[in-house]
Amino acid sequence: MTSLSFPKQFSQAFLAEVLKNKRSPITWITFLVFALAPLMGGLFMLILQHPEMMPQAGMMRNKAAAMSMTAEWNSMFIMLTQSVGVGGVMMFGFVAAWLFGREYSDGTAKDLLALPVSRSAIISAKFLVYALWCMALAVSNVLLGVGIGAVLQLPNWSAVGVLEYGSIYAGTVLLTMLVDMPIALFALWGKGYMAPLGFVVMTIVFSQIIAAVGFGTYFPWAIPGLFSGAAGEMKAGLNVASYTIVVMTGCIGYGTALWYWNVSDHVQ
Amino acid sequence: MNIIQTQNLTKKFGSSTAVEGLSLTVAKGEIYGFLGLNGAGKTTTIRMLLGMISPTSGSITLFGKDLARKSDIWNDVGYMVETPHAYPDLSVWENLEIIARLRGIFSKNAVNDVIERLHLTQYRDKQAKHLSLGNAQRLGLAKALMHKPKLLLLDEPINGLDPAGILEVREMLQELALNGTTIFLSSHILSEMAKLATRIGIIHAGRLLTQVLTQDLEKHLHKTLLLGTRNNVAALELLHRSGFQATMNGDTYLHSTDARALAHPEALATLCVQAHLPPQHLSVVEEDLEQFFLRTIHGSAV
Repeated sequence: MTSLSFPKQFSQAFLAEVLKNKRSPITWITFLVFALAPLMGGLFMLILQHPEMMPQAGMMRNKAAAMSMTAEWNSMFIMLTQSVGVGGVMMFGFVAAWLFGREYSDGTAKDLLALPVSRSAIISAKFLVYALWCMALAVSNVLLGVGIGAVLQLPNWSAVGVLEYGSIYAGTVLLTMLVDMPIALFALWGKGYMAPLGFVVMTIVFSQIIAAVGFGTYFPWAIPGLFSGAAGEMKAGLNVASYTIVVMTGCIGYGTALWYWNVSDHVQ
Repeated sequence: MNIIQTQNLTKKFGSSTAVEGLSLTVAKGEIYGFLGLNGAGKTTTIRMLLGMISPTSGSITLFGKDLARKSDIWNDVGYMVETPHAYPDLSVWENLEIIARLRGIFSKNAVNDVIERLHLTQYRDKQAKHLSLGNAQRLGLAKALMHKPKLLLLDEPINGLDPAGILEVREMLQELALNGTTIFLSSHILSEMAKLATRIGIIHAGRLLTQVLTQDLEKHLHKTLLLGTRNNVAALELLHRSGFQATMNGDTYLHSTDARALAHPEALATLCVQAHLPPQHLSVVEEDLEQFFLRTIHGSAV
């Protein structure tokens, strides 16, 4: 049997990762949970459109008003973007924790360590699946949000608005994916889900605190939320350094996961 | 050519030494049984041989090459470490398909062949989480064997198998070895190891205590002559006077491991009869494998 080239190793590892997740219920659960954001947004807009239909929903109406939400397309797009910027850190983090931690909870990590496909190819393939999974979640929410908006016949659809909010949405998704890449290291180091999920919770808590004291533009996990506009005017504080920090965070996440998987002692 | 060679292999985890100064060689076609209690260092050794754990010191060569995480080494190695696990929501076939991809096997027949060989055909579409322990073990072996490796490293390969399954696996491994596959397997089931392995190494507290060719195992088993008379005190004195070593251990019989006595028990019988101490019991008993194993590890300085 001849040795496989790295691209071939990578493609084989990628196909294996796809097979692993094809039948996993977790895959579909993430889509269902992530869909809660557009569903809730749709509900808010339904209430704003038809206050007479749900008189008991006054608290939700007040909440929608407090969020400056109106029953129109722009509000729907803003809500979708902010749900990625804030909730995405949690959801994408869960995806990363699952992809990299499952091998330990399933007891299959040892089956991936002495193969013709290199360890680097396996970790790289997992990162590609992570990116594709996150993008699929983002696209599914857009499709659902647009579908709900169409059913509600929201007003003020415009190509300019779609481009403007679409680019912010795509940027928020990309930033969120990058800042969650170090979660892979925590899953490999912690040998399961608990350490990475704990890390996700910690980043969310610290994001709130650090953004509140005015340093959110330099804290990687606060930046996607700020970019999405969830903190209003604070978005204006983002600068080249902020985006560099996010890219560096992603690179560090990828590099440290590769390093750890290649050189650490695998006793499980 | 030695397929496996380790030289002064040592692994420490912090202040704890898991394996210490392990030097062994395994030749082509050999079935090497690695025997030890739980925690003796068997799995750590196998993980080091697979590059999963880096030795603190010492060296490993596989197929004459220094162990590095090179892809071309692992093409020829199949392994199963500790309890075999599989992706629980995937079927037997899908689990094997994943391994086939990771091993760069493009023939669909490879998966089907190994399923048939391990008698997993009826469980082909069953989710791994619903397999019995024995069938999960077969799935683990199927993963290890699918690519027809030249070296098999198996950690407790017969755990969970029923007697028929044990026989099947034993015959399969023996056939593989006859065809040139080298097999290194660990176990704590001595009787099975004696039937399967061509050589046995006993490891205890991280140190290799002894290596024995299975065909020579008989020579290493201690024999004891048991003698019982109506007056064992007098018989013991008689044996000592006649130059035989013997002891009275407080039970019914005198014990002797004297080579002359073991070689000619009839001479002792004659001696006792002539001294009016006719034997009521005279037998030579051989220690079993468990006793040999326990004697070996208890005889170590650890």
